[in-house]
Amino acid sequence: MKKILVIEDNPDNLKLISYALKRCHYDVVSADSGEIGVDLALSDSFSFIIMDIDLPGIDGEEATKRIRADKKGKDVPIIAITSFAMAGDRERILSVGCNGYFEKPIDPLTIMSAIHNLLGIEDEK
Amino acid sequence: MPGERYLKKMICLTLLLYLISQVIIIKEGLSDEFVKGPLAIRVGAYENHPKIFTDINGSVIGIFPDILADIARKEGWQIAYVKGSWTECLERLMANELDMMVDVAFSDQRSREFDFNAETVLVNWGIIYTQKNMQLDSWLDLNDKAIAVMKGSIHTEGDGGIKNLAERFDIDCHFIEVETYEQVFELLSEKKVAAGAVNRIFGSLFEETYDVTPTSIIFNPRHLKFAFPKDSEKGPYLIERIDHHLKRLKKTPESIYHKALFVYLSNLPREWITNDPKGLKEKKVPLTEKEKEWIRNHPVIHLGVDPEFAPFEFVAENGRYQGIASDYIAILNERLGLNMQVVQGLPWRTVMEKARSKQIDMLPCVDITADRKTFLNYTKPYLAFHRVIITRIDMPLLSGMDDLYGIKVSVQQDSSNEGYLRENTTLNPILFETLQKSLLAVSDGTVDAFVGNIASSTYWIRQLNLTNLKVAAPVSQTTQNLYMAVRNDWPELVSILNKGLSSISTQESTEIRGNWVNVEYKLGIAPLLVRKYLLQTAGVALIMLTLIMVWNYGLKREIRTRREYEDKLQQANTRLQELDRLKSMFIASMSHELRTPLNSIIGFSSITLNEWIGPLNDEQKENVSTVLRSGKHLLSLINDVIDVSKIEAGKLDIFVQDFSFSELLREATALFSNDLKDKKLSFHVESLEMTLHTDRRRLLQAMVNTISNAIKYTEKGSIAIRAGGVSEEEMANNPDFQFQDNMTYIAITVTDTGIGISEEDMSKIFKPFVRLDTPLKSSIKGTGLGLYLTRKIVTEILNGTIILKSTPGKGTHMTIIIPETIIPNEKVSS
Repeated sequence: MKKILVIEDNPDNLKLISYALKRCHYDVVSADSGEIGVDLALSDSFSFIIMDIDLPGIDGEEATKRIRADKKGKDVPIIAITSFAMAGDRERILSVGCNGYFEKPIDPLTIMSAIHNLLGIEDEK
Repeated sequence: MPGERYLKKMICLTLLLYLISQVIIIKEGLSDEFVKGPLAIRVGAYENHPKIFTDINGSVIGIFPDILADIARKEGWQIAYVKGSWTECLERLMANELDMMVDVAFSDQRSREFDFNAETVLVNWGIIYTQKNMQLDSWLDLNDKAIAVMKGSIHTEGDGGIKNLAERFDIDCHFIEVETYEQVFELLSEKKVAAGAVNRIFGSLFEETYDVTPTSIIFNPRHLKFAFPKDSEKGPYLIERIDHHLKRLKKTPESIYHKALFVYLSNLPREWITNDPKGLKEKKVPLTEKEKEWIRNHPVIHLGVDPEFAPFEFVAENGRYQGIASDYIAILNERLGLNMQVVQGLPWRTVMEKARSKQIDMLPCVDITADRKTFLNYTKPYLAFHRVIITRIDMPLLSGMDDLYGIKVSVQQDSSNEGYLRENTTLNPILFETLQKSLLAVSDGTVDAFVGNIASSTYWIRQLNLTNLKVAAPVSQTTQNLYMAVRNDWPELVSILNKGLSSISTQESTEIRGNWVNVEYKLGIAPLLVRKYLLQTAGVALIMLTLIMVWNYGLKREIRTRREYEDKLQQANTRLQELDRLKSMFIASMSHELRTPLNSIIGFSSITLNEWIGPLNDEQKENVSTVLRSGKHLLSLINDVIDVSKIEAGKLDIFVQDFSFSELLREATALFSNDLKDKKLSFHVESLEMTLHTDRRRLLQAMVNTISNAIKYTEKGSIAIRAGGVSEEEMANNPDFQFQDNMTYIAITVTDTGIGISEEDMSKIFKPFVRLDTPLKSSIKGTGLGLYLTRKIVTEILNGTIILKSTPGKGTHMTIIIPETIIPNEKVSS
């Protein structure tokens, strides 16, 4: 089973994205802070990482930078899902090493196709 | 004015002589003091004609050496001159290599370096000369003038020097510095400068040699004294002896002191000093035996004098008989062995009565009138003065008596001047009792001119300080004469007096006249002038200062007020900026905070409705779908708010790209296929195939909003979209919009058959949060921002315009006109 790391501090959002991921038969590993997320990301291998930006402690951007700084983490796809929707947010988030960027709210019906499309993964459905 | 010039010359010659004019004559003799053994005194000698200089034989002579020689002879001193420059001499004196220096100007600073004797030998001062035929009356006349000065002179540099004075009086002149006073006079003669400053001694000696005229501008009086090394051994003794002799010399008119001054300052041969003193002044008057006998028989001659006929004769405050005549009387008493005594305390009227009754024997200073001739005999005239016209300074130039016709002329009553006017003119003068009153009348403007003799007139002008008066013109070339008058039964005395008067030389009479006519000039003139101009300057400065202060005060208040407003404006601006920042922060944070719960609302209702969790009954589906729709509505509201705030802040990024318009149109209409189907509206699209180069996302947003609006307000009928080039008519109907010549525009018109918009609503429709009050309102969802945002996108992002045409009840045409291409940076910023 392919493992996905979700770094998200909001349990509702975690639950929602987990529904979508599980529906596509992914195994979900979650972390509720940036620090734990970075540790997990570098200690295991994941198909991709779903990264919230507004996190307690180090934020998603910093976490992405740290993952990218390690050789274990430099190739893992990172998808940012954030409610930062103001001008410049998107550019900044992509510049620190995220592969994709989705604004909240996400549509659970379409989010997985969008992610797969972005990462070039064939939909299993 | 020849008279005036003559008087001015006299000033210099007679100033110091005046000092002794009131003292008792003491015969000069050898000092009582006895000095043992010859005392050798080393004296610094330098060249400063005529005060000290070397003659062709190599002897050091001059005013100071000659006076010093006299003192040394009496004291038995041996004077040894040590020659050098002025500076060398001063240095030697400082080093105690000399016992004494002559001709050193006293100053506080120098008195710290040297000891000075107490008695001043000579007062020297600076005086301004000007070109012949040029008049300079005051410091202010020196403005803008070139002034020649001698480099390094005490009258050029230093506190009292002309440079400093000019600066203090704020006189804007420029100085031409030369090496000698001769060069100053040369420049003046050649008319290369308007004025020149020299010391008064040089001036009086050489003014005749050059083409120059002295002015009344004098300054920087300097007391020239003997100087000694500080605290030297011989110093106190020398000072004591020199002061002792100087005092006596100065008191004695025939002394070497006065002779030296007179001879040197008049440029006379030096031999005159050493001549027998008697030869100069004490002339023996050859009298017959009969005359001598007459004198013996008349031991006292009673004089009747006019106590107020200054400067000819008057009685001073101390009761003493003074004036020109008094000097003549003193000389005549001495030379003729007469004893003429003034009968004191009589007013002039009484004097005349007593003369008539022969209680008074003689009147020393009167003019001739027919009445007086009946009881008096006259000597030859011994005083003559010009009769002159006195006017105010501001009067136009008078050339003579002819100019007096038509103006008010005053004259002293019963004076010979009144007689002169009556006999020689047809003027009708205004009479005043006294000369003083006549002058005051001219000064205060009661009359315009006064006719009187120059001596008494100028005397009283100065006494009364009538600074606004001037001697305007001489009346004629003839002069007014004064005589001594003797009771008519004493003819012997008339001839005796005539002999005595003949013994008085022109030089002596000149001296006497100078003493009295210029009496008020003595030493006080420089401080007086300085004070006068200082006061004037101070007055003007005070007025200007006050004006400036008042002005400054006004300015300051103005500045303060403006600064207050500026501060308020600055504060308001800062607050506005702060508020704007808060607004942006609020919108950003609100949008973020709202998105998180919306994520759950939309997300969970979506998966529930799609039965990911499990099957729902119809009612559950209906309810969950309401939740989902409301969530999406809230989201669109938030998105619109963010877009508006971005556009208003000018922060909306523009992404320009090439795209197919028909493709965009298909994407937009696809969103509404369900709505159109639900409402059973027919839908027509008529579009040319166009490739645009603009912001696709924003154009799509505008199209979606427009179509959504059309569908919302249309219950039946059709929606039609037509896109293509802009017609002439559309251009003509849009005078407000500036079509660029080099641009191709497209027009997209969405036509509906809805409720339409009334005329008055037309203006409201593009305002934010306005939703038209229609029967459909409750059933129609909208943020109230849709059209507002659409218009902002079209006008501010896409550089286009929106045209709205509507007929209530029939439908609406909404046309978006935009250029095919956006050239970056051509965005119109809000």
